[in-house]
Amino acid sequence: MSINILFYALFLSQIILISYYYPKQIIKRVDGVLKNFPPESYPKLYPVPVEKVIASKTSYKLLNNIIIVIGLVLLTIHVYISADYVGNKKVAEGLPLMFGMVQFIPFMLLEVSGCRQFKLMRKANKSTSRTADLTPRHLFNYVSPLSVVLAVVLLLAFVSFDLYINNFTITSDLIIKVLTLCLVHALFIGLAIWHLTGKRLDPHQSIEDRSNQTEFSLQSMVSVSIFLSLFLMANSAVDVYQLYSLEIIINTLYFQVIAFFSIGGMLKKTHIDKINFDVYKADNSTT
Amino acid sequence: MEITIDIEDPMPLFTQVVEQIKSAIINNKIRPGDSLPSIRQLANDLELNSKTVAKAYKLLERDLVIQSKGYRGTFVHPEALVNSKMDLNSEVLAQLNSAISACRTAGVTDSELRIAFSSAMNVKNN
Repeated sequence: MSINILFYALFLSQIILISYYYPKQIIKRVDGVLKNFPPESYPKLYPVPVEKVIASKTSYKLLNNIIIVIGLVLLTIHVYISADYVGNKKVAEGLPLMFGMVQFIPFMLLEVSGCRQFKLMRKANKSTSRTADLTPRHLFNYVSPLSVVLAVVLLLAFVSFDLYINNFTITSDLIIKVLTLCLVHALFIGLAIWHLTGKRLDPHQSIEDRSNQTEFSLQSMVSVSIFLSLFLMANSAVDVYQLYSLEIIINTLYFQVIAFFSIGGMLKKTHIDKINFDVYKADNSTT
Repeated sequence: MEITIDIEDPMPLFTQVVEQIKSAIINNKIRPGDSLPSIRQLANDLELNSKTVAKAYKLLERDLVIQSKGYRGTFVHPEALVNSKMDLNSEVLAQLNSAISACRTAGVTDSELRIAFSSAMNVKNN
């Protein structure tokens, strides 16, 4: 019963953190940009009319509100179902993961919308001058070697741990987990290479802002890698040591940690006070 | 340290990159031993073709302004400051003018000079 109460509290916290608190911060940030950097003074920042930005903001808010309602309904259903179960049993253990993926949909749509905006910015950019930094961007300029080593060690530790608890037999479960890890890390490596040597999406972005963005992205990828390995290890341990009732707790905690390091990190690291908005002014020709 | 190029400038893009890097060295913005971005990074940042930046780097390496150290990357040459100030074009022009004047004094005609120059260049290329 106490595990159930703990889960209700944590799942409620997952709903509030990912679908209420962070979206509220993002909306506050959009409002701050609209108020302090209006289109009249910063035309390069608005390749689309302000009305469209406001409409997107409203849709984003609405989508998150719908997800909150869905979350609360799911929680109520879970309270009702889990009341019949007692002891160490799995009860809809995939709920936090499935719901967490739904919670991330508005953030993904926001990313897609951002990419579209940058594409329009590049199209509208008539400047003939191009600026580059003569400082090379290396991985360890942005992430400490220790955290990268820790991520790699934890990856290997997960595989060793899973083999150990399964008496060194390669199970289909392990193969699926290793394949998932390979795919996720291939994506991370691709993204890291793109951040370090690829083209910038925002044609007006200052070199310092790009550097901050690269730093945040690389650090968040390393953090996600570390927590993914820990999560998978905990997941394997739950099955082997028959701690089934804990699985749902681990799942909800995992999603909140991921949200904290990705969305929370992004909001903290790329705060509007730290961004150079002068590059978006009409009279600024140096891009 | 930033460099800026203008894609509508009549000066070729690779020359602009070469001049900007030399200028950064002369103005002590980058120093001997400093590492430089990879060709891919610089090309993407300047929105240029990688071959353009590779050509600029090749010319800078030839002039001993930068040096490539394999997988470790590209670095500013220890003698970069002196070598950046040297104008190779005017050096070549001075040498050629002196040779042409000597040939003309000896009575060689312009067409003979052109043929000789072309043969000499072909010999070098072969």
